[in-house]
Amino acid sequence: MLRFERLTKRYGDVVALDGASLAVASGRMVGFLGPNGSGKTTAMRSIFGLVRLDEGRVLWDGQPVEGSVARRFGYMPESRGLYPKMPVREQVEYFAMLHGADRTAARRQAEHWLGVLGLSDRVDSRVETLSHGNQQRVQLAVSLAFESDLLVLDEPFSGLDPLAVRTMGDVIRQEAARGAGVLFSSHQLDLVEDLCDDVVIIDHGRVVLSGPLEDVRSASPHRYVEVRGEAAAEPWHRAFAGAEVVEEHQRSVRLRVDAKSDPGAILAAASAAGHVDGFRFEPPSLADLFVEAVRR
Amino acid sequence: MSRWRPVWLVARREILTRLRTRSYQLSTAAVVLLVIGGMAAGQWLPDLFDEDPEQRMGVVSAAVPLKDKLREVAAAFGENVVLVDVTPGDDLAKTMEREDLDAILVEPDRLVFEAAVDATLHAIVVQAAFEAALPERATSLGLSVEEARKLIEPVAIRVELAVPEDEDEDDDLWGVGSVATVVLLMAMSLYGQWVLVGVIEEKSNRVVEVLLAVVRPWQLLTGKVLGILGLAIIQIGATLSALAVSLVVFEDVTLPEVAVTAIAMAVLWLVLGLLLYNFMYAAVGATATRPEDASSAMAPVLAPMMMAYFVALIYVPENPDALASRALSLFPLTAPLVMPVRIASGGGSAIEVILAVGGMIAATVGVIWLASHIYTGAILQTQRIGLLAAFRRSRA
Repeated sequence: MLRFERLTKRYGDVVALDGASLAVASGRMVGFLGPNGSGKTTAMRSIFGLVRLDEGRVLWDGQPVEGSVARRFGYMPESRGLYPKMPVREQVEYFAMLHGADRTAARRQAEHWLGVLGLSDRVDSRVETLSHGNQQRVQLAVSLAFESDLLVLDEPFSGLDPLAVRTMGDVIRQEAARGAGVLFSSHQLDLVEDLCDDVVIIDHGRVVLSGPLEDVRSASPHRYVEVRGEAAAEPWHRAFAGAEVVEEHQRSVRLRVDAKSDPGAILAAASAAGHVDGFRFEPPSLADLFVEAVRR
Repeated sequence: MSRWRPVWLVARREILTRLRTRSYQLSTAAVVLLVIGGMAAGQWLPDLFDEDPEQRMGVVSAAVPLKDKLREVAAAFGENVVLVDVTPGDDLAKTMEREDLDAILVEPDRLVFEAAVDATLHAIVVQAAFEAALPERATSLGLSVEEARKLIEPVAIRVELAVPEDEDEDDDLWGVGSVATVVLLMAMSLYGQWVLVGVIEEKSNRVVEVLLAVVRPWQLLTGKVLGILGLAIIQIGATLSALAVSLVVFEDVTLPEVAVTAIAMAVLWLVLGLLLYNFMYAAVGATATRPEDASSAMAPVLAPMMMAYFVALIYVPENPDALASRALSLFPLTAPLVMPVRIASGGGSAIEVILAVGGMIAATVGVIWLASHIYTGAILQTQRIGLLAAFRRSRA
């Protein structure tokens, strides 16, 4: 298990990490969310010693992460980095060997992952000749090309088409199923909601929300109500204390209400105000949780 | 995995990647061809510029008795004179042209040249005629041939050189040392730039972040420097092999002993110089952000190298044991360029060479430490950073 213990990092007056703590258990996919500049990349870099922390520790199974341990981790940085003139397979093999694989195992792993990621016919091409999406696949193959204990992926889905996103998502899920811990950041919240088991939201260097996704959704003090039909245009929700309109369209309205609210009473009030075509009462989505967490 | 395996993997990638490039293959081939061409020129150019290595002299029947003496004297003079029997004709010039002759000995006391007198041939004929006439002249004077020889024996004159011969040899040695310094500077600049540009490229295409997630900065640096040192050694090896093969093939060409020693020492200084300077190149490369910044980034490294180069060529040859020469030949940053010239100019001693080599090894260890810190502090910065700031950042 990977654990951050009160990580703190300042760059002059800028606080990048402010006592951030989190955990990534083996076999769990952890979505690491936060606004731009919230400290995600700094935290991810600190796992590999790329950032010298002011305070706090990064632990793997209770021990500080050092060179030999970090070699068991795969890393896909936010700023993609590959040798442009190096052939694809050779590149993946090279990084696999740096991670400790012998030449035979490195070749086997490279061919396996390039096959899985749909690059079998480009193994001898130079990276610079590939499209952006295919270069991103090579980057993922580089981080996968040995049986890692932990995958750290900074924005792995940015710039990918939907098919590539699905392929990459499947691959990451399989790695978690094998037993690897996966920590990945993304601004595509619906995608993260589909993929992750746990969620960590960071803001201004502090972890403001964390836990299994279903647990944090249920634990929210709010519920969201969506009403479709004529009733959406009427102000019936004013009768409910604390109810707040979060989205409003011509024939639909979305409200945030107290978690203890009675859905039956809300539906009755809406129906009394006008015709109701559709009604939903649900815990917050990940996007709702994100907005709630970072606006505090 | 041992801590040296990543170093080996990084070095191996450097070597394999660059070995495949056309520029490396062409530059290696060019150096090899230059060596072989130079040696071939050494073999064949003298023949090309020597208009007529052998001289041909016609001998008419009346002068045939002189032929043996002519051969003996020509051999004693070290001249290759071919004697050709000719029949006297009306037109000696045509005979000369037809037989490709430089002169015709028409009678024992009549030598005819075509248009100009060749002093060497003339001297050979005069001496041969004198030798042939000596017995008869001695008898007429009532002397034996030996007595006659003693009578005409030249007085021995002591001949000395104003410039002692070994000092002249020192000039050759100095020449070899100067050439070695020029070659060393070129090699250190060339291979240093490979390191510099390689580091800047890894930084600008961001692959360095993936690398540093799995290898330590010192491993990446050392692997890169050793890889490029390996490439340099391959090129040096190819050059020396070409030299060795040429020496076997072109039998007339020999290297002076001093050149062999100077080459061996130059290789030693080159290896030490590359190790020291290439770590510095890597450190300054990490502070730049784009390949266009390479020339300004390398200024702090070029300064001591150029200073050493000019001192080595201008000051040291005349003052090999002056305090400044002594100090600069021992100071690690200037030693690889100054010490070879100092030794070639007759200065230095075995102890000083050992001290300089030891100093360079110690300095290289220190530079690896310093360069690793500068590299660590600078390599992930997206903006240009100073050397001191990078060092402080790595310690922060």
